[in-house]
This record gives sequence, structure tokens and C-alpha cells, in this order.
Amino acid sequence: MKSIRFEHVAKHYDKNPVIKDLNLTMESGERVVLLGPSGCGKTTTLRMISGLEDISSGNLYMGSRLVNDVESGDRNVAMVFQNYALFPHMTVFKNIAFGLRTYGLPKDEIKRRVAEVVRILELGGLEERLPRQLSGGQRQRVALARAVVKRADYFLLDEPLSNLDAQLRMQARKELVKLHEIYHPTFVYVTHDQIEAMTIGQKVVLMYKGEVQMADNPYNIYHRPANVFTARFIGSPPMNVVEGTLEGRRLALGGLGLELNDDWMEVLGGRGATKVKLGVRPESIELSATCSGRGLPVTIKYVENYGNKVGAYFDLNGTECIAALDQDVAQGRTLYWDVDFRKLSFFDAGTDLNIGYPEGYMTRGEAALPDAEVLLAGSAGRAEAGGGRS
Amino acid sequence: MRIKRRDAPWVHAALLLLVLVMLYPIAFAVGNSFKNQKEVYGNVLALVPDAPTLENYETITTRISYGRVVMNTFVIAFIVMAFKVFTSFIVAYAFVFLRFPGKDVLYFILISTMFIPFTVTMIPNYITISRIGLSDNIFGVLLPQLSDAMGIFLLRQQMRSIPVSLIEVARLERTPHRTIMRTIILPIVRPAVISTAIIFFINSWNEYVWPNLILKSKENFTLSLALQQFVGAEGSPDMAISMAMATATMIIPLILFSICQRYIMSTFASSGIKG
Repeated sequence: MKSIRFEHVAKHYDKNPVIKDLNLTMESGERVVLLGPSGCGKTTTLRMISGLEDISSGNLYMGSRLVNDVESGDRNVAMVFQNYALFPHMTVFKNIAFGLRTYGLPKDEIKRRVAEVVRILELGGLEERLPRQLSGGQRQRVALARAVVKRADYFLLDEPLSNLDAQLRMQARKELVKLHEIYHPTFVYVTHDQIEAMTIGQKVVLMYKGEVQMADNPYNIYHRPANVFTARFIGSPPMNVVEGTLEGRRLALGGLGLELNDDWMEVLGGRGATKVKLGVRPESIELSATCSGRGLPVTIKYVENYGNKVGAYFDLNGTECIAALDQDVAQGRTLYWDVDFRKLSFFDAGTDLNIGYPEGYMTRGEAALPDAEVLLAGSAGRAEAGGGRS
Repeated sequence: MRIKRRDAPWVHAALLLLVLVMLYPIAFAVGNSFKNQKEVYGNVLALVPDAPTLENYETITTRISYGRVVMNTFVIAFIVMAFKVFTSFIVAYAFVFLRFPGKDVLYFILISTMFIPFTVTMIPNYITISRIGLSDNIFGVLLPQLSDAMGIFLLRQQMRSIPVSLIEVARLERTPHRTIMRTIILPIVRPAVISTAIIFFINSWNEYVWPNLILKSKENFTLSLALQQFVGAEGSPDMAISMAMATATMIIPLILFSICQRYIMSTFASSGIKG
């Protein structure tokens, strides 16, 4: 088994806590992405798995083995570093074969294995070059090749794409998923880029200040955020979160009132007259010129163009909100937000935690992960064709 | 620094003058070493002798055993260099790549020893060496010199520019430290190691005070001690012979340096971590 389990793991440097009470399971063969702003502890978490960083307290299991005191060399992990960490004085071949040589594999086996990853990562013809004679994208693939060639149970990647330009990054994303499908290691990927996290991760672990905010599949992370931090971190522009007061069936938002439906009353009704936070994604807000009865009037104070969408800013109960609209709207106009109850989230105003959803709402979350095959459809075909790329 | 074309003649003239000032004493020594007794005192300033002769060199070989002296000097310089480079390398590696308690304090203490003048440690070292029975022995000369804070400092500076992730990659593959040092660190810092080695070698080759304190008998002398014999206050100093001895003293490090300089230049040109 290639699972990873953190049990009450903490890490501190001197007195500074970096990770506080981490409890997390990564399934065998799963693609897990550690996501969060810089300094949130995601890289530290990855390095604790690799054994390059020891843990201050708690237990870390890899498979069924307690690895608290196991050296990194004995954990069967391969790692790709942000700066690639290629040996500047070794050729591409020697860089890739480095680990295999220290394990004393026979020469033929080393050659065969290196040739295989060179083919998969399209590095053919570059074997005798030095790292400084390669482009950024090629170096990145050599770093990947060196990790892949080991066929380790655990594949750890520390922001491996952050030094690539946007186009290469898209391509490399697909390549990574493809590699995972071929070798099927437990895959732990650190990034601060939410697009990367969503496209690569089967499970996304969002961290902030050394704590896990939410660990779930990308759909739930996006549509059913566990707390306000997750709601605000994921998505661009982020989810609108507005505080309101429950008054019976009515949610009071400053001078406005939103009449809640029966489904939501089942979830929220028991709370009495308390404050809650209403969350709604910018693209889930539809504004129309005419009032349909329960529509909330909002005044557009600023408009910006995203190319495919238009961002319309308005205030709701003193909080600035954004609606991502398909059509341009005029600044200063008053429009009506026809609330779609199936696209709302509610958070407790005190704890910032998600209160829950009515039965039957947003069911896609449990049903389907964004399947690897969908992402792979393009890249796999290209690899089989063996298309050369310079 | 690039020299602007307009200033070129002046800059070149100034540099040329500096080179001449530096080279003159050497040319003086070499030139006079080939003059006969009469010419030395007749025309000491001429750089090229009228009638070149090897008689001064022959005199040296009759008065001292030159081969033995060179061998003594070489053995001391080589062992001192080898040990200093080796110890500096592994200590610098530990200071850069290993984690251990008290690292910063230890490094501070180590570096502060660079500022202790030789004259302070000279007497304690002399007493120690003579008590353990190594006076008048070349091993007595080299024993207190087997490590050097300067080398640790220089190599540590070089190793700090190596990304730690290179060592971490190796650690993930269960690579022992000695293999990391040999296959990763050494190739990257090779130019610095060679330069440090040359500095150590030449410093030891030219050393005078400490060998003079330890070595008594002539068969144990090093070149600089032998040279002193020819310029000593006793008797009349024979200038042509002492110049020949000076030339014979500097010729070996000079050859060594000119060979290694080519090598250093090429390693500097072809390496570089950034790529």
C-alpha cells in the first residue's frame, strides 16, 4: 500500500509553529495537491513526507509503516524540486541515471530504464547535453525524468512548473497527469496556483497558516467550500461572502431582505435569529433589468471587462460584491438579482464554517471527480503518435 | 573592467610600468645568477650577463645537497597542502550542508583563529613539537599545519553557492556523504579547490620562520633555509651564488603555477552552476 497518513503531526522551527496538528490521509495512488498561499506550510508538509524535514510531534505513516525516524533514502520517494536541482556537471543521461547508479543496478537495466523515460518525456537526442545547454522546459522534463526513472511509490513535486511560461505550463500539466497514469504512484504536488491544483488534483488540500482548511475533490472545493477562507481563496474573482441576519424566513441584508425557500429553511430554520454569511460565486449571479418579485435591487458602481465576461461591482449590506456577467452593463444602473437558491452557500458568522446544503442541492460533488481520462484525452494520443518536439 | 579605447595608451603604459616594477627583482636575480664573480661586482645592474656561466649553480651543488633540500621542501609543502585541502573540504562541507548544534558558534571560533598571529602560537608549538621528539624533523615542521581556517572559509564560501536541493536529491537516493562530496560537490567547486591548494603549496614552500625554528641539521633544510646560508651575515655574502640559490628556490613554484594557471583558467571558463 502506498497511502500516506498524518496523525496529529506538528512541526515547529525553534518556537515558531509551521504545521499545527495535521490530520490527513492520502490514498494509495491518489493525486493529491497541497494548495495555499506562501508560508502556509504546504512545502513543509511535502518535505516531511520526503523525510528531508523531520516532524516535531505526531505520527506519519507511509503504507502501514511508521516513518517518523526513517531516513529519506529508505522511504521510496522520488522528488522534483522547484529549481529542478539538476547536477550542473553531469549530462542529461547521468542526471537521470544518478539514483539508479547509487542503487547499483546493472548497466543494461539502467540504460533501458533511462531510454524509457527519455522516450516518454521526449528528451531523445539530448542525453549527452549538460543542463545549461537546455531550455527551461527541457530542464524541467529532465528533473521529472530523474524522479520518474526511480519508479518510486511516492512521487513528490514542489512547485515544479512555477519556472515555466504559461504555455509550457499547460503542456507540462498534462504531461504530469499522463506520467501518473503510467506509473500510478501516490502523487503529492505542491502549488500556489489554483488552476494547477484543480486540473491536477484528485484531492485538493487547501492550507493556511499551518492548518488544513479543506481537503476534498476539486468540485467540492469550488462549489461546496468548507469555510469562508476556502470560498475566498478559490476562484477568480473569488466567491462573494456577505453577512446577513436571519429573521424567520427572511435573510436581512442591510436594507434588503431575501425571502428563503423551504429547502434552505430546513437547513437554517433551527438557528433562530442569528447572523450568517451568505456566499455566492460571481458567475452564479444573474442580473436582469426587471424585478421578478423576489429580486434584490443592486446598483452597479463599477464595471470591468475580462474579455469573455464582464465583472460588475455592487455593494450588498456594505460588502463589495462582483457578478461575472455575459453582457455588458452600464455603470450606475440599478438591476435586479434573481437569486438562484441552488447556487448559494451559507456560513456560520462566528466560526466561518459552512452550515451545509439542503438535500439534493449540488449533488454533482459526490458523484464525479474530474476524471483523468478527460484531461488525458489530448496528451495520451500525442504521446502514442511519438510526435517529436524540439 | 573594460578599457576605453581613448584611454588605452595611458592605461597600457601605466600597467606596463607596474609589471616592470614587479618583474625587475626577479630579472635581477636571474640575470646575476648567470654572471661570474667579476661581472657581478663590475656591473650589477645589467640584466643580461655578458658571459653567461653556470659556475654559481655548480657551487651551490657542492656546498649543499640541492636535491635533498628540494625533496624536503616538496614533501613538506605537498603534505601540508594535501591535508589542508582535505580537512578544509570536509569541514566546509559539514558547515554548509549538515545540521548540528552549536554550528554557528563553532564556525565563529574557527574563523577567529585566522586572526591569531603566528608569533603567538609559535612558542607553544615549538615546545610541543620538541617534547614529542620531532624537532629537527620535517614532520615536526608539518604537524602543526595540517588544517587551516582560511581554507575552510574559502571553500565554505564556494559551497554556499551550491543549492541545497542538489544534496537533497542525493539524500533521497541514500547516497553516503563521501559519495556526495566526491561526485557532486568536488566537481562543482574544483576551481576553488585547485586555487586553494596552490596557495597552500606556495605558502608552505616559501615558509621560513617555523622551519628555521624546528630544523637544525643541514640535511633536513628546506630551500628557504638553504638560501639563508648563502646570504648569511657570517663570512662575505657571495651575491652571484645567493642569486643563483634564489632562482633555484623560486623556479619550482613558478613552473607549478604556470602549469596550473592554464588549468584554472579552463576550469573557470567551462564550469558555472547557473548554466
